[in-house]
Amino acid sequence: MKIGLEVHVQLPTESKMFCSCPTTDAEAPNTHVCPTCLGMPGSRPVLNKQAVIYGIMLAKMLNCSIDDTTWFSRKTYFYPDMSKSVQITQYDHPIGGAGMYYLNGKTPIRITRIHLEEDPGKTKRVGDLSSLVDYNRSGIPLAEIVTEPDLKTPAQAREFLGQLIADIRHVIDLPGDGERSIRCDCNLSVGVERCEVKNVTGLKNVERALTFEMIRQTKILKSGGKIVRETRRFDEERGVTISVRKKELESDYGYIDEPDLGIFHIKNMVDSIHIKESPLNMTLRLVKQYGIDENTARQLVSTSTKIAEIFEELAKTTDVQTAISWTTGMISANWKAFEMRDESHEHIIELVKTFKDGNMTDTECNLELKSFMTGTSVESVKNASADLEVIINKFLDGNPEIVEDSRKNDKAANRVIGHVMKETGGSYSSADIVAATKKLISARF
Amino acid sequence: MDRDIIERVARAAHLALTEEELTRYSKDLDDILDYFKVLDEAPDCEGIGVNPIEVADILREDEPHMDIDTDRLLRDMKTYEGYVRGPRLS
Repeated sequence: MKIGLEVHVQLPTESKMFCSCPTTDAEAPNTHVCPTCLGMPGSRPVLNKQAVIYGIMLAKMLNCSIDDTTWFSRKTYFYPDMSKSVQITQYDHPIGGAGMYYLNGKTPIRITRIHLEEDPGKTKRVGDLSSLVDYNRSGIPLAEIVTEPDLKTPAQAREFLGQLIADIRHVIDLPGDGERSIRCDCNLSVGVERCEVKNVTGLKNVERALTFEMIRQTKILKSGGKIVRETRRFDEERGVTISVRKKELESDYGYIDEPDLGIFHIKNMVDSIHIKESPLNMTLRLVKQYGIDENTARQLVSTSTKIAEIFEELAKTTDVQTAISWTTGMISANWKAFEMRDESHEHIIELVKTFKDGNMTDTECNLELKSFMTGTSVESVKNASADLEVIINKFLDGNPEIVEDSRKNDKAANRVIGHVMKETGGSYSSADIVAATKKLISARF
Repeated sequence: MDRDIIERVARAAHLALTEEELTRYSKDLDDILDYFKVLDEAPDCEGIGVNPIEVADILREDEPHMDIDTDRLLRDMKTYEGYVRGPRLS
């Protein structure tokens, strides 16, 4: 079985790709439009520099080769979501080609290309099958990442996409919400001919759509049938793929070069752009550089790459074990609250160093950290913490077997967490309960 | 021109052609393509370019603004609650 993906990423620019219309969510349909994104005769596109910068960043992330010269093409297709009947995209000189991306840092997945293109408008069908079109989305910049058919199973495709999305979000600071989204076209073949399932959103749906398609194609071939190359869509509610239209051949799109935009020489931009380390690369580097467990490294990076950076600072100024203990414990537990505050993390480092130097007890450091990270007074933290500890201790007194079980089974403490949540009606965060439970159980060993 | 090709081009362009039109356009398209053969005589283009007049490295900053009243743009279109009315889709 062969699976290849085409991943469409909306780039987080403030204005559209070829005109200055805003990319923010609009209050009403067709209000963020102009003659260019409506494809009116006489209008001319002008390329957004930031879209090119994001394209180069992603091409670098995917280890693509990037030529100095790039340009755009017109892809002809007739559908109401593209009012000028051509989509401005890239064909024979995309921004990046022949890349390589490693799943889990090990399995190589070849990247055919990454190109820039404009998003079409949104079409909705009404009762009599006529269409209503909103062109607010028309012209939003997209990067399309095309893989070679190197993925072997629907589960692997899901894993790949999850990792890719996390890396993309980190490298180009892509917001995780709103209209900006990542859509996926999934190509799957169990024999000779492939089918494409268009516009699947969400990791789970990608796996579901591919699994359905795998079973459907296998059944056809087993019964002596033939797979017809076609485009299908995924019905999320029913979990099935449905034939949409016979797929156009590449030649039907009638690609021609886009003369209005001309050509672009991007070598200087490419040389001046440096990308942030991706979460996966950071995870692998932490394991190698500090000799820590891969799951711990992954936990740190997935909570926030900033926590991983704090870990590195602490590992250098204290020691690796102290750094792990505080970053995976108290610092991770209060990270969400800390992110809401516009504070530097310098004080966190100072507090842990003070503890390590022996000028503060473990309990004092916990209180000071929580107070600083949540913006509440030490006194309030102390009271809340004391109340929480009373509840936990009382439960442990009544159920001493939990302490014994915890020696062999990490999950034994879950009973305490469940009890406290129920008892306090959610007054304490689960992270706080976990941290306090671990501390009090350890004290009884 | 091959009738299959005419049918495929018509399908890609969403045109429903009658038998009579298919026959007629087979000949018409042949004539049109023959006319373009004159380009075979043209000298080869040197260098890279997508426009006979050089257009290169024109970029704009990512600064959003709207300077056209969208009501005016939609004035001559058929609309329904702000949406542009499109054709029936099968």
